Amino acid sequence: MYVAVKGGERAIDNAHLLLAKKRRGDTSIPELSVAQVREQMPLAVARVMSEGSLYDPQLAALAIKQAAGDLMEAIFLLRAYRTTLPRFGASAALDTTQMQLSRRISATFKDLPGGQLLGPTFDYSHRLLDFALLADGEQPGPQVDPQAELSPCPRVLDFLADEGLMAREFDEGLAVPDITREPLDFPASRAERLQALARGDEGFLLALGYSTQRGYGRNHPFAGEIRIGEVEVWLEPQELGFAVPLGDIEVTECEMVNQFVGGKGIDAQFTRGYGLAFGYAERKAMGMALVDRSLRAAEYSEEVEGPAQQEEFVLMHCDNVEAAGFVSHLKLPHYVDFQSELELIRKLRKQASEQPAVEEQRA
Amino acid sequence: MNAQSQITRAPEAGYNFAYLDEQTKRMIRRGLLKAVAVPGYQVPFGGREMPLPYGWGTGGMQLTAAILGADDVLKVIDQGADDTTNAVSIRRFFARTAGVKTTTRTPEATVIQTRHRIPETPLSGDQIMVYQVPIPEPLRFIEPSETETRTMHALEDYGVMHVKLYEDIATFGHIATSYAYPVTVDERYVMDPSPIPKFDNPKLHMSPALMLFGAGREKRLYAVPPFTRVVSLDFEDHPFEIQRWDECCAFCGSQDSYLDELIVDDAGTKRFVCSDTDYCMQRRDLEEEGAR
Amino acid sequence: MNAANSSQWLQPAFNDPVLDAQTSFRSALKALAEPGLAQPLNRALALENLHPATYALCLAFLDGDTPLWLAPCFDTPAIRANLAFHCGCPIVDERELALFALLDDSQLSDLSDFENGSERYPDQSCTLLVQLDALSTGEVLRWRGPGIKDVRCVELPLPAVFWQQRQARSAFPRGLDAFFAAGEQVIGLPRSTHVLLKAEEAA
Repeated sequence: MYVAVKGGERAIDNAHLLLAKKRRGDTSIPELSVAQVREQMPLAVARVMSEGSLYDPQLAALAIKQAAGDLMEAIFLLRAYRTTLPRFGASAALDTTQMQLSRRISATFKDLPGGQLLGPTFDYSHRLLDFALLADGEQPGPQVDPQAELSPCPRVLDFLADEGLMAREFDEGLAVPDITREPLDFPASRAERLQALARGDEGFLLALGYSTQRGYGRNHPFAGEIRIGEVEVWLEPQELGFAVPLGDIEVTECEMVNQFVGGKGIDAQFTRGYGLAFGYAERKAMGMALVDRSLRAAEYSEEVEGPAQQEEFVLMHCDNVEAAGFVSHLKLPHYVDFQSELELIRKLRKQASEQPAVEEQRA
Repeated sequence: MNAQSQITRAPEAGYNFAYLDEQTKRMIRRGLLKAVAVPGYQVPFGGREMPLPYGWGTGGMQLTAAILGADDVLKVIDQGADDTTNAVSIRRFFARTAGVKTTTRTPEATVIQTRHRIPETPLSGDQIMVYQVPIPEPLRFIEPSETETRTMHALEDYGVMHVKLYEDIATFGHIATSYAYPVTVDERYVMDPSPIPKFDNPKLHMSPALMLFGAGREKRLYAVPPFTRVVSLDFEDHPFEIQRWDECCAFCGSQDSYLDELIVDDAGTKRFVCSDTDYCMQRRDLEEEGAR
Repeated sequence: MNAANSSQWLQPAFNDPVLDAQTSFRSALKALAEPGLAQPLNRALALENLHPATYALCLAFLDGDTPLWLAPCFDTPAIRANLAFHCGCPIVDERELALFALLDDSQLSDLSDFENGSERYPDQSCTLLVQLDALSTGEVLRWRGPGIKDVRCVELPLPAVFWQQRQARSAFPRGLDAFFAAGEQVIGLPRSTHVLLKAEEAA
């Protein structure tokens, strides 16, 4: 007799072994080391750290290796690990004006203090497969002048703000909530929204940001500034009373300049959307900035007309660990509920087939 | 699988007892107290990432982790069965991280974590049921916004739910909800009893066991205390009824347990067996004893 | 008082912080799920005038996320030092801010400032931890509601004013939940319990 999906312990153990084999692939080819993933797939590592909410390139690389390259699975691994870590405190706000920049561009000004710094980017590469990479050639990189120094790069949007053209953002000094410790409540504060977006799925945010450009809640964005580089993290332990540096992390920051608001006696001002991600993650930071601005609709009394402006819709569905889990749970057995539906649908059909007879009798 | 209790190995080194850290457990425990004090109300809690995917029982697991002690005996079922892969996986998780005794026998268990069923064997006052819940909000499919549904609960405004059920009757002649069938708890909150078949709804009413519900992804927990009135929504002219089968269990002959339908050959021949594997096994054991 | 001179007051808390907290919580959970039924709570020692059951409730429930309001008779250097060290709970002067309140029976005549939740978030309410001399020397009252099969007779030695105060703060789902601790026992009284007062019974 056929017995439904009742595998039990052996089936699970075997599934784990088969997965390990699948991950390893052809054993005549040397095994990939975690260091290789960390050093040679830095953009994958960055995404896993951002959406995994944990800055640790080594563990992110381990997760990518363990997940056989499935980045969502790797993000999930890192999140599950993060949950078990104790909290020592909250860092001071990052001062991104003090970043060691490796890239900095503005689409709003041709030139500006500090200049444009193209840095490493796919942007102007022709997307032609580079067959040279098939052979294991060393890439020397450009010649570097060890004496070269970056001039200070003040934030682009601050120039606009100084002129009164850009709405200023204020630190209200409130305690920053932690959405990984307390459930989201709606309407959410901007701090909570930004946290959710920072953990949000890059593809989802990209698509939503894109939808605003196509008219679903349009808000006229300009890439005011994108900067990528190393920034120092500071912590002020209570018992010390002064801040100490913990080390540097790489981040990507994007500030969008968006359509202006004003009228009714208030001077017109640009508004902004903000994106921040760990590592080199330009697409994520841009998508996040677009969606952040969309979600400020209520703040600027804008009509909510696109999905990207609907706070609950965006924040409740942007987390890929949640989404992947709930979609994948459809693979679990549901035969009790399905049996309920079967019983009901048969009953309804039976009744429908009997009903005409009843009506005929009446006639 | 034999239905004997088994003492499992000591908890795995390097993990907290039952996986969660103490602060997280305390947060969940405080939530559970409020859930018990306001039966059927969904308490928001700071759900944590578990090492199992969302949708696979992370809410139930967090509650189990928060209540489980060294003397507990744990039973885990999925679709009524102890040996479905997900039930095995969750039972193993707690055996590994808490080292608790596990069982498949309903009467021996002190904590029963379940997905989609309530055991057929009546529960006792020394037992706690933990339900895995995917969507805790019974109004969600009528009103997708959490802000709105929270207001509806606050105002006890459940008119839309009755309208929805009545539309079913108008369209199909019946209430077309067969599982996750909404209930009213102690004449106040409308509650989703988790996706149990409506067959199991009457077991919630005045049960001597404490019922705890956990939704990990949605970060909500709620409870039905023992001896609490739990009434399935219905209408005077369309009273609530449970599923019935013309067949009986092909293994134990039970005529009043919830049955799974199996297709046993290419011609589509059907057989029906108990969904509650422990109940079925006990009945067969009893029969064998009687035969001897 | 600072950390340097508070260490003289410190006493051990739970023997096994994990399992004793779990056992104590389960007693409290059962107490609240079956209102009026005394549950054992003996995993802590007394701390000054805090009975073992009362102290166990504190150790099981409180941490840095739970502001506590302390009745004057429990506001001693030793209790403060031990709660700070073992629980890390902030002690607040404003009753409105407290998630838990540690009370003795002299504090039951005015419960008006403790948070009783909102219609939307009835869970955001203060839980009262009330220490009594005993749990069964008072007037017999009949309790009904969730967790009680039919009617339960409970003899908590509480002043009549407590029941008036409880009534005044109750508009289900809003309300106050309470634990009554004495010696090594606890009784729970959730807001969902309907307590028949003598006057009502006569009516």
